[in-house]
Amino acid sequence: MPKNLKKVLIATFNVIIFFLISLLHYSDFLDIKIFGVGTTLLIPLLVAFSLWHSPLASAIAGVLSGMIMDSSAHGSYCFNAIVLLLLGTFVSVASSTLFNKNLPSAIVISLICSVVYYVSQWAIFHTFSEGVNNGLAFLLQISLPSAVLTALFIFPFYYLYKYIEKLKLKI
Amino acid sequence: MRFFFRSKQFKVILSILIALIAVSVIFSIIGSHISPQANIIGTITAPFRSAVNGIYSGIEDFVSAYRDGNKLMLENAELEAELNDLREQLADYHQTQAENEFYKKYLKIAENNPDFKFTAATLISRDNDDPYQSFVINKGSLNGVSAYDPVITDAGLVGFISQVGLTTSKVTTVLSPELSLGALDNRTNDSGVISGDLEIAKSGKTKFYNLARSCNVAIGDYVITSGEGIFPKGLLIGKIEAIGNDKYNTSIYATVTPFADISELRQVMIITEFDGQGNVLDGVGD
Repeated sequence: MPKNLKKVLIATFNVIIFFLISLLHYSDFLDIKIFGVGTTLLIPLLVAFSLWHSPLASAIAGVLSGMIMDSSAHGSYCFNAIVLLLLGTFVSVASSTLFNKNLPSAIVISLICSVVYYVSQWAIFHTFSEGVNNGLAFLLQISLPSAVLTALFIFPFYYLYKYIEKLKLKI
Repeated sequence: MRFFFRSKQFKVILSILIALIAVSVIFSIIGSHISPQANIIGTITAPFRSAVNGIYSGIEDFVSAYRDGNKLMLENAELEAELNDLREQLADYHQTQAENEFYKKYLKIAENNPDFKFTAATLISRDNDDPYQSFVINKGSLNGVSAYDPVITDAGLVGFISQVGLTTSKVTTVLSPELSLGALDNRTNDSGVISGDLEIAKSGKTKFYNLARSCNVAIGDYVITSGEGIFPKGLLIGKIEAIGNDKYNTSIYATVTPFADISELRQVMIITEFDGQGNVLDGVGD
């Protein structure tokens, strides 16, 4: 297969998967909740993507999917776009300098990113509007459990991108 | 890592970041407007989100009909497949009839409140991360919708428009603590404030705060808007389910179940105009 066509096919696949997950996140299709705790599947998807891509590609993937989220998420102006841009860049740089590209590293990075996302969301949108008691309850009952649950979804996305990387070499 | 901070990639990422922060700061100061990039993306993705929501609703209807054991309905569906030609002819008629049914429910509210002007809207996405069940509708400023417009169903109050874009708007519900609205007990005229609470929002309920200790509110009473603030007077909010003392024992609160089933909403009405609108907007939805 010509190299350019291969690149186009993989890029198209990435655009489709990011677009689909961003859209489905705000429908009832992907309303994955355990004991009332939700998930944001885009974070582990972005982590898995950024492990094998350049900082710029990861930042662009993060900013575009963040913009789709911002158009649906409550209260956010550019929150998702900014945070996902930073997370994508961090993962890409960290995976080439601090971590190995293996599953344990992916789990650790996914957990760090999920905690950063949910705690910053809590700090910006829920600490003041909900009062001290409600704000703390929100952090402990919603934000932190959501971060842990979200981080666990790294498994399917890690193996998906590992498979794609293998495929890139084969074709 | 030092090489990354000196690279061209880093400069591009930093420029995007600065631009996003600038937009974010400007729009959080202006308030109540969806940011331009989210507006553009929202407008582009709105048809996809409507489609996804429509597919989900269709599947949900099908599954619930199947789960209810409605055998006749399934047989009817098979027969309907054979009558495709007729159905095509009738499609427009059915759509009009469904719209008429939807509008008929609001006729009584419109008759009782001739000053109200309505715009119908369909829910296109839900914020599943928000425990207060905020959502996005397919109408925006191009359809005459403004920030702080009340959102209702035929059952009662749903919330208000917290951010408005060109073709979409975000709705904050009565379950959210961001909303504080003056309310009355319909039977006793005792007044208080409706505002959300995290603990009870999970079960789709909201709180009726600041009721005087001498008030006569009772379980089963209806709560309506008092007309102070951004909502017109007399909109049904919900029914009192429980009554308790606040933690300082200075006032009473009641737990209210909204009449509008927010978790199951598909269509809503926005009150775009009413007498006295815009008199009091300060401090709402910030």
